[in-house]
Amino acid sequence: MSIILENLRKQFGNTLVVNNVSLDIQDGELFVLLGASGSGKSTILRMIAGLLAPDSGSVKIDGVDVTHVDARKRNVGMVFQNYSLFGHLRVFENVEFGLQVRGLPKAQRRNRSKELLEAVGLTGLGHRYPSQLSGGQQQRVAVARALAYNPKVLLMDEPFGALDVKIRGTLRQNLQEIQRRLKVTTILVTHDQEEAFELADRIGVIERGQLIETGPPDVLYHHPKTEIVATFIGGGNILVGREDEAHIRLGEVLLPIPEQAPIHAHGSPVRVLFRPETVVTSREKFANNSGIYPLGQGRVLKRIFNGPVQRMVLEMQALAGVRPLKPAPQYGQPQTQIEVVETTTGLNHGVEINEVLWVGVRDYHILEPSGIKFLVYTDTPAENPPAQALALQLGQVTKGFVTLFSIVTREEELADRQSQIDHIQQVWQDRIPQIAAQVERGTLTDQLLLKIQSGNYDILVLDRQFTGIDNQHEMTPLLQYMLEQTLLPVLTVSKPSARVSHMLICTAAGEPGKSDVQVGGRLAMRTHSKVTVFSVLRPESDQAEKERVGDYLQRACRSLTGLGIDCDTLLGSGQPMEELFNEADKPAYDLIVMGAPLPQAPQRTHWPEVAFRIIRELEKPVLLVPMMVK
Amino acid sequence: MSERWNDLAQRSLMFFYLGLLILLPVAAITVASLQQGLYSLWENITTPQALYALRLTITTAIIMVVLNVVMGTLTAFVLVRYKFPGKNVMNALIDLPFAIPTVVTGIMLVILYGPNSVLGTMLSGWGIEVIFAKPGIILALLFVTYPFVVRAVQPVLQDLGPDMENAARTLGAGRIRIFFKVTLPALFPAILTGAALSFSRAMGEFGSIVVVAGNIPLKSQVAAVYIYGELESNNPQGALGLSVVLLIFSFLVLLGLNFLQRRKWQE
Amino acid sequence: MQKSYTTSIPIGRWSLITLTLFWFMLLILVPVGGLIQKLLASPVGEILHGLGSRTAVNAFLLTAKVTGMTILVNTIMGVLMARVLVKQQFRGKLLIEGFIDLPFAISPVVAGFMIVILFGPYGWLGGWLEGMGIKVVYSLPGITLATIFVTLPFVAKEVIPVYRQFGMKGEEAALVMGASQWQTFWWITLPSIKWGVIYGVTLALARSLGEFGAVLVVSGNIINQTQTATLYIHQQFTDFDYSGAYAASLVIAAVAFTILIAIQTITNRHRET
Repeated sequence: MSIILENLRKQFGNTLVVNNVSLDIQDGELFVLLGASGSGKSTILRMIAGLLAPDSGSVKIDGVDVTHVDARKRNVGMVFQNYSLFGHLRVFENVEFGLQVRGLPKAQRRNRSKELLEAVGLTGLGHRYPSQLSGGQQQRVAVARALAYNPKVLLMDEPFGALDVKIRGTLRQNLQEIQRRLKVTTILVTHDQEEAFELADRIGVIERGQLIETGPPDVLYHHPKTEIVATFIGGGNILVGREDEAHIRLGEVLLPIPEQAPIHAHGSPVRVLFRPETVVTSREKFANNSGIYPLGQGRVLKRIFNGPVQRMVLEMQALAGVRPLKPAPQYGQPQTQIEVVETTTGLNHGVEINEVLWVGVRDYHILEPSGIKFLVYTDTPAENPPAQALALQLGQVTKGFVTLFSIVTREEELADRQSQIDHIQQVWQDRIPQIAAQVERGTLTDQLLLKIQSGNYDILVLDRQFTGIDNQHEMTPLLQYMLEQTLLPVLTVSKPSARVSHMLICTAAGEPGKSDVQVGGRLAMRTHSKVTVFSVLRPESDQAEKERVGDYLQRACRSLTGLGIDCDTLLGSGQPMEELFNEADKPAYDLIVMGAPLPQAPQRTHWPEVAFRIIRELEKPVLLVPMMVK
Repeated sequence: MSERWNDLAQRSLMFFYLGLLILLPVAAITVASLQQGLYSLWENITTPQALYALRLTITTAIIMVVLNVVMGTLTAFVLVRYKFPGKNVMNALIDLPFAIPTVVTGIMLVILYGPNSVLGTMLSGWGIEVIFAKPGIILALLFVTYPFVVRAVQPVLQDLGPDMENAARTLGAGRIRIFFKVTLPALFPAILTGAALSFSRAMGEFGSIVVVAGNIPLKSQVAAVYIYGELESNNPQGALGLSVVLLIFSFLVLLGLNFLQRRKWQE
Repeated sequence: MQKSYTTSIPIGRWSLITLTLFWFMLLILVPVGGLIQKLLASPVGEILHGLGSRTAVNAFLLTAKVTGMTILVNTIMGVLMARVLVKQQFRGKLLIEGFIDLPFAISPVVAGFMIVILFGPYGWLGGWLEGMGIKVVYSLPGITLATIFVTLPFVAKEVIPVYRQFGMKGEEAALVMGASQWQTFWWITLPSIKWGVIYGVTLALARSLGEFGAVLVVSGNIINQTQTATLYIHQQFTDFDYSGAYAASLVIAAVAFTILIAIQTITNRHRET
């Protein structure tokens, strides 16, 4: 029996738990929903079972829309997370319960429960109570109980979660056999990647309520489309190179773009994934015809012996213009780390720490292109307000994604606004292929928050004028609320601005640190902008403080230079508020980046105050980067 | 759909039941006392007899609570931490006061301490009056409230286990310090709950006291007995004043208990 | 191991145990013993005569009647209230959960007084009911109402936590398996919350057998008509008919206590397995 989910959506309070999930599960398939805890996978399962009503969307089982059908009439079998066995009933009574409520005669019930207990390997334990069974046995009772009345589909919520690692393996095999034999369509929810690989015909990866990708385990492992799936499933190295004449340029190295790889625009960034087991190391340089693409030389940082395989981390000199995504680079270190998994019988059996080895890859995979994702809030799309204009400009230059978002308060405004915003979308479609437009009805903060949660946006772009935002008293709380609630960088714009070519990143030395540099750097790399990293020393600072801050700026610049950004540093001295303002006011800079430490941060300077003053008085675009402090 | 109606029906039945049995009676007495007028209500409360009854109720309740907190906590402690012969029997018998009707409690105390008893004669020989006096009231209150503190503290102490105390000992704390700085603070909310329940019961206790202390105005008449006396002598108006005062005490205690409960949930 | 238990209080172990036992005996056991001793000292004939008198028998019968109705109503309503409070979400739920205990906090005399005000001949409901020929105060309905009031929270209070812990998950499983609400309730929910119900009912039983203050105010204490067992005991005592009072006291205390102990052992055994 097939299961079809269409645009399933569920919201708990202000949180979108399940976000437009559509899924098509074939008859007899064993489908695994894989996701971290809290990703919304159990909520999806409960909506299929009918224990929870979706806010919108539909559930079809065997071609019949059951969205509004009572749970008891859906005829699904469910294995609950902690089994929910009936403690006061014996095992066979548990198994027979579904048949009893269906009014089956006792003799038939007995036969069926005997049959099922045999199938799950519990023959002879029928007269025990659940509390007299081991965890593994209880789980099998739960499976037998769910299957007893021949349900159309079987739903399993973390069925192995409460069990010992040791018996999980056996029970998985058991379950798979039964499922194959009965050919019952099954959805299993788990956070365990190994479990998903072993059991699934297909896997769907869920993150923050969104179904990111679906596919057979091997396809998801070797050919993921997105970074989320690439990093959630299996370990791996992801480097960001550039498209260069049907090749990917990783520094000096040129890798041919495989035929089936997604198309990248010329000169655009390309994310290359190579799994640790496809990385090859050698004491000798690779021969030209070895079929191995050499990356360069790396120093062994770590080596972990693991029986059949050994895991190594090597450190390579940064490849020019390459941004390592994973493993995440160390702050201020231009070196790139590479993870390797090799069999221990190989040539490098006796590798030592700090030894320098040649590093190459045997195979690699290219992820779908992803630019920076801008979310623009616009009240008057037709007038092309400054924020909208800048976002469109940045979207085009960075080959990124732009989502135009508008909110109306009254129903009758909806159609009009929609047509305006659709028009903008059509006009820009050619220059920004990844443009989307949406209008919602409701209140500003609520709708904006929901929208931000429902997509993986990188930067929110806002006009300073809307809702009288020029007045500090109104803007500050809204901005601060947004920053705290979403942790999403916000770009505020007041005047139509020139093309971005020189950015000033204002940073406080040391803590809270670095996310301002990273976000700014990413924008600078995509816009090919020059960057000045700037900090202010109080006049009373001593020599040590001066050196420390200087060093911090240098390290920031080194990280940026590693990405191919033209970067310099500037260290001012005086009252931070004044100095920052004076520097930001200089005509050379056309975009200011500032960290916005969250309220609980130990505030060296009153950054929000400074930031808000700059937003108030400066007519340049300002990018506020919220920073979490440990 | 039918399920929703079902839920609604059950909920409505609950509202009706609670409305009829709790909300309406409370509303009725409130309205009755307001109809009487605040001034005359105040006069009712401030007659020397009523004031004395109220003061007597509060003082005996407080003395009982102090004794009960100390001895109840100690009983719980001994029952949880130590082994001794007869422990199980004692644990079962703690609830005895819940089972014995309050009138019977009063009668038992009269038998024991009354003027005809050995103990009573002995005590009155030393000038100590129990029956028809304060000590009798306090004894009766102690009897009926004994389980409250014990049963509130016992489960908390059981969950606490000796781990925390042992941990404190490894950190070099002495026995006295451990008891006062580690064990007691952990038990504090439970003790407070037990104390509040005892206090609330004592403020309203009637059956045992009316037998033990009788109905002697300005000597042994507590608030509940005073209210009953006014009703007996066909003066319901006079009974309203102290009834309202007791009702307010009930609400306050309940609020406090809810506050304690909610704090426990948050932890 | 034992040592870590014993040294955690600054006074010696045995002195604490002795102190506790002394307090317990003086406060609880000695008075109970005193009553039993008095009873044993009274002539058997006198006791039997007292217990067998028409007044006594009527009083005990009335108490049985009132208790039976109270338990019936409060068991059904207690389970229903627990079910609504655990399963449903609605406005004011926290308030109800907080104030369902109110009858425990209110003095029985005040409780009786409130019922007299509401259901008395001049009360909001009393006048209306009297018009229909139903007399509440000074008769059986009033006594029952007062007893229901003072025992109202017992069942709900004991059932709510058990329901939260066991009932909900089982109900979901039964629902998915196709059981109707009634089937789920009788076959799954009730057996899971059984011990909570039994415990609550027992406490309510003990309390309604022994209730005095509220019933005294509501009943008018009319011999052979509205005199319950506790009222009878009080009457005998104030009439200096001590042996009758002692005998009836002991009977009623023994019944309540037996039930309490029985339940305690059953639940303990149940919880252990």
